[in-house]
Amino acid sequence: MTWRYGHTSVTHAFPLGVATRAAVGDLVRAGDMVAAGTTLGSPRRVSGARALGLTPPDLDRVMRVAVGAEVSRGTVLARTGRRLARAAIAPVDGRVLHRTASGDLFVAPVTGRWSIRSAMDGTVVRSDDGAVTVEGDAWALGGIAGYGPDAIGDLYVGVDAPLDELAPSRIDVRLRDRIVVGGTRVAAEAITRAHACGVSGLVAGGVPAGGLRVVYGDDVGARGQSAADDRPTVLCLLGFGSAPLPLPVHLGLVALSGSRAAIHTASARLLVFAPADLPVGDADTPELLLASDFGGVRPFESGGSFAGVIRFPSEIDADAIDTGDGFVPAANVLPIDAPR
Amino acid sequence: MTADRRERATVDVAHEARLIRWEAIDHDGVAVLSDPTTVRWGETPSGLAHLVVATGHPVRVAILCGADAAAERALRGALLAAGAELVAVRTVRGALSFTEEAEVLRAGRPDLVVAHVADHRRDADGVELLVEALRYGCHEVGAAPRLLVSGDARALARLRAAGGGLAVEILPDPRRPDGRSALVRRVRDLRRGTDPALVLRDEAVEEVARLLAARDGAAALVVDVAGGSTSVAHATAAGEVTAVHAPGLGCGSGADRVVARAGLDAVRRWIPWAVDAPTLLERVFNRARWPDAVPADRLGLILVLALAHEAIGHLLGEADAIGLGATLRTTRTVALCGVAAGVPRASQGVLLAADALTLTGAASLSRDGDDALLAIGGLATRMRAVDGGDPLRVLAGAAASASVPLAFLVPAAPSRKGRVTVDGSEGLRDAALDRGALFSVPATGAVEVRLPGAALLVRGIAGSCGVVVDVRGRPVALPLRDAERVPTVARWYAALDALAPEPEP
Repeated sequence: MTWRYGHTSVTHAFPLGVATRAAVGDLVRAGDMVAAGTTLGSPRRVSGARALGLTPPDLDRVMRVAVGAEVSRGTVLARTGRRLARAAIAPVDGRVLHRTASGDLFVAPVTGRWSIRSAMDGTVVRSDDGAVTVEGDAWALGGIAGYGPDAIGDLYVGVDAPLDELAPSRIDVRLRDRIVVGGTRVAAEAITRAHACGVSGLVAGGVPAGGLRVVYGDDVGARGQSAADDRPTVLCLLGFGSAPLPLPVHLGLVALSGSRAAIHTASARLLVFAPADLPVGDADTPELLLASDFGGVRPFESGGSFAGVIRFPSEIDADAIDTGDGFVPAANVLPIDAPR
Repeated sequence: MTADRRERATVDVAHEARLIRWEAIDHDGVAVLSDPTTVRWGETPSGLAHLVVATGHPVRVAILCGADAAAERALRGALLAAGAELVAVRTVRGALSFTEEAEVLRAGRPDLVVAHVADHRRDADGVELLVEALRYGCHEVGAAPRLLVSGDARALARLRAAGGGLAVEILPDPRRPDGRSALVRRVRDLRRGTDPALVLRDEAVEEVARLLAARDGAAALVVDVAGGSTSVAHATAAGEVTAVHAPGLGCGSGADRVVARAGLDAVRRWIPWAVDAPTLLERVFNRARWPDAVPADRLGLILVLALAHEAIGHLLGEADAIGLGATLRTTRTVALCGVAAGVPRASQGVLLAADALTLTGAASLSRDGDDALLAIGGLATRMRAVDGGDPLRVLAGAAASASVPLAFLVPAAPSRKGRVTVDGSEGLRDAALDRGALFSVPATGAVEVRLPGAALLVRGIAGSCGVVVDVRGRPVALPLRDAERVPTVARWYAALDALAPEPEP
């Protein structure tokens, strides 16, 4: 996808155990907390309605704490009677997380806390226990896959030319809290070094798939992998392996350098919060070419001419484009905006 | 289509970024297909009837069930037959806590959850707790999943109550045929959505299997590997279908999922030269994110074949796990569709079938031509479900002409010694059976093959690859070390002339 300025939305999904979250209509800035919650240990089941001699629907009437509330050990969760009182008591410090249909309660100890920060400047338009959606205006550049948690920071172009690869030696602690643009490729060494130096996130045309496995584990896929824990953030814009950025995309990054930005990994987008009138966009939509062995992606700038059906070295007959240097399958040339 | 009117129907077979369009014309009650064209998505034809054979919407399903392994197998089998994407199987035997169960179910983002209690006394409490975990995990989270409950009638009321707030439907017991077909129908309805033109690709594959089985009067197997789905459908001459479908696994957009499930080394082992894992992974990921990419060089093509091997192998492995593998492999006819049919050399399809299907009996291999069989399957599906009529009478002829014979594949036990005799179009020929050998004997059309020590002849239809005799044993064993594996796989490719020559520098 090329650079676009416009109204867009970003959805932040939560893990289980949300305690507080932004309300619909709240104004937030990228980096503001939009939800917080707790991670929970093994829960204890507390007999509720049956212990109190009630039918399950009547339990709500005698509940002393709401489901979701944090309680201390010994807290009365529900109680009936006066002289001969019956009560359901919290067995551990923790949260009342669930009330079953049969009128029992689950109380789980709190083992940790988490928070989710907005990757967008704007207004909360949806908020429930599963996700918060924020809408606002920003420059957006879509990639094909995002890995790690969302990242927020000032944009910094870490390469001199779109064909350059981000060398690990160019990354140091001065880039802390920034989103660094890595040009053609960022290798695993650059990713881990950037994380160690406190870099918020990395953006590059290509990321080696093997390197992603080294950093994120063997279950990493081609469709990205969002995370909430402390891991590096990488946005892969064009392909895997080596993928030089088209010049209009690179120039846009240069023009927006220094602006506040965010990487939203779930939607694989770079969002930059800068004035709409910055000279970023280019009317031309560049095209991309997939290598014949699928080994990389590069900008296809020669234009080429349609050459009809030819037989490729794989012996597959397919529509071809004559690039001047040789023939490439027409299907392997796509506009950068094409759905992938 | 009716017998007395001349009608046209347009059938589009969907690929990742394009459609192969066929026109079917009704000539006196028999369908005839015109030449195919390639069109883009959204180009609607002006024909009378329009069908699109596609994979439909992905439907993510989770299973919650008791300790009864047979019930779990029945549910898995029904969901494999329905083409559902199975995201979680939670049983009462699981050792996870309530919150961990809830996290697993939430992370799976199921559209549909099937809760089954086989034995009220033993399983009801546990399954009820799993449903509670589901409700906790998916409470107020976007579109909540639908809950289908089945099994012991005494437990159903408890499951309904536990799933309060979720949309609950009651299904017949999926261990019975009516329950199984109800579950399959429900999932397929969701996959179809509201598009009246959509015919699910796996339904079309099943219809093709029915047509071929009826044509031959014997069991037929259809194997379809597409960019983002894999199907294996078996039909008997009586029209009884056993099928497993894996949406999401394929040689294109599903390539990275094949690697995730089978492992990169499992894919790499089918490549007849040394290639390092990171290099291969890069190619898999790029293919997964480039719709309908064409492999212009040899590595790209061999990678696609290796992915097809593992997609089929993985699906058959799942079928074996639920006890369907033997049924699927009992066939005398195998038709390859999708990517498996579209490879440039016929022998590549034969090698793929020989390695991935691990058939134990002789079978005639054929392939689909430009998705014509899938288009015919789409027409047959619509005819059976909506229009009425006899698909066999109208479409059997078109199916027969769309199925291109490849080879007669004869697996032989490695312990057999002697000579194999082939009586076919090239006259009587024989060849020595050597342990571990794979070779072809030229022949086309109807052939008779006699294996040493066998009392009976095996008969089949050979194609451009002749009679392929496979003495490698089952399952096909591959050496672990590259130094031994690469020459072995290269020898198999060479034996069937399945590898394009290396381009000159």
